[in-house]
Amino acid sequence: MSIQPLRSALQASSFNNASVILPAFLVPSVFHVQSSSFSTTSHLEGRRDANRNRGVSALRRTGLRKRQTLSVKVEDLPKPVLDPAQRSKIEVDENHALWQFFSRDKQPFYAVEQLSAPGRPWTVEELRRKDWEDLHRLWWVCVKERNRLATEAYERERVNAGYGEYEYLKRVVAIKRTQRAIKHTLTERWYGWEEARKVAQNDPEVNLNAIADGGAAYTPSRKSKRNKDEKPEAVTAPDPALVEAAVAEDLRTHVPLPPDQPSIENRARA
Amino acid sequence: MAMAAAAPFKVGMKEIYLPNFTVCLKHTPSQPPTSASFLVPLWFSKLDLRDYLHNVYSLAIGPTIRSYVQQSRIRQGQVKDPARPQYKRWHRPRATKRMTVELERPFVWPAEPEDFKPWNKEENKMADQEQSAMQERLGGTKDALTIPTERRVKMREQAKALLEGRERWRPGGGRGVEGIGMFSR
Repeated sequence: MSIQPLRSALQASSFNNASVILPAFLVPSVFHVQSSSFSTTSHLEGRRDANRNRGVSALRRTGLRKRQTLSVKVEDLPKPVLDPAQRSKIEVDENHALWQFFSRDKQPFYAVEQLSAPGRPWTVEELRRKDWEDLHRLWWVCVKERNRLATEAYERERVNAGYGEYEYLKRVVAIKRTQRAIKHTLTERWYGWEEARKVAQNDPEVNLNAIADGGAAYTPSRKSKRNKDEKPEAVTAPDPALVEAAVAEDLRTHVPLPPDQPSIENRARA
Repeated sequence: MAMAAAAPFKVGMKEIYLPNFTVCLKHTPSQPPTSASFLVPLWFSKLDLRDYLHNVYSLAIGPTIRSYVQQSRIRQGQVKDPARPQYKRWHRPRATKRMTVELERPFVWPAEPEDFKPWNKEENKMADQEQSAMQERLGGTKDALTIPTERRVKMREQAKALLEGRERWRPGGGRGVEGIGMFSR
């Protein structure tokens, strides 16, 4: 406090009856007496820290402060059961969705005999007879089987069981060949449809905009082969009942349209 | 295939046909039975996995999915032909992505078979140990110089003998005309 010594100096000087010459900037200090301390901090409050958890961190494992108490006592905390044999047994649902990642007998990995069991991939000849729904279904069967094999191969590696890797790879190859054959079939169908569409664009007998126009899709000309008794008839959109019967017949016997074409029934309804 | 029930989450507009990837279920005995971990393709997202599990497996999962990418360690080329080992073909194989989901109902893996005889575990283990011991003796396939343990023990004994003055160091390793070394007497 700079003012105190100065005042005492002034008092001392006045006591001694000696006149003190003050500089001009210090003259107001004689008239304005200090009423309160310059600092606003009170000494008594600054000592204790209001934050009881200062420096306490669970992440950095500092532990508790001195005489700090928590709402829970350490003895009352639940203890983990480290021995797996003493843990309570969990009932697993028989129809749990994750069983689909395992074989039918619900074992962690296949026996080697099961893996090398006879089973050849589908041929393109066989798949040509199938429609899009069946091919799609078969594709997902292949995908799920590959997931199953991958799961058991990973477990076998983790446990270091031994044999099984060779048979597993053979089986994966067989499934991949089936998937390739499916895509081959679909590609063939698409090319057939594409070629037919190109030919139909230049064919006067075929109207590709029949649905939009509401006209006939196919009008055979007089010069096309037919019996003399028969009269040429323009083919219009058929009855839905007849269409459904025809579709069922198609699916049973012939190769139907590729998947990205509207089916016969949709074409009729449009 | 039966259509999956209406998804409990918001579904996008994109339809995916004939996908070609594998999702593998991992066995994690240290994790609680209410969680399941999967190995998924590296381009997979959490939304993809949620959609996949719902549509393909009709699996009901909790709202949180955790994922992490595990980097592979650098290794040399695969030894397909033992006559031409692929040393020095250093590369880092592709990383793997793992995702963990929370299950509505717990699932415990079936127990391991007690006897690993059908898979011939014992013999394979012994064969592996013998092979690794042989490789260590030959010097290993790593780039860095590795000295096998037996040789290190012998070198320590030789150094001790030299320091104690029992043997005397000779230039050239002391190999004589007939290949007799410093320490063979």
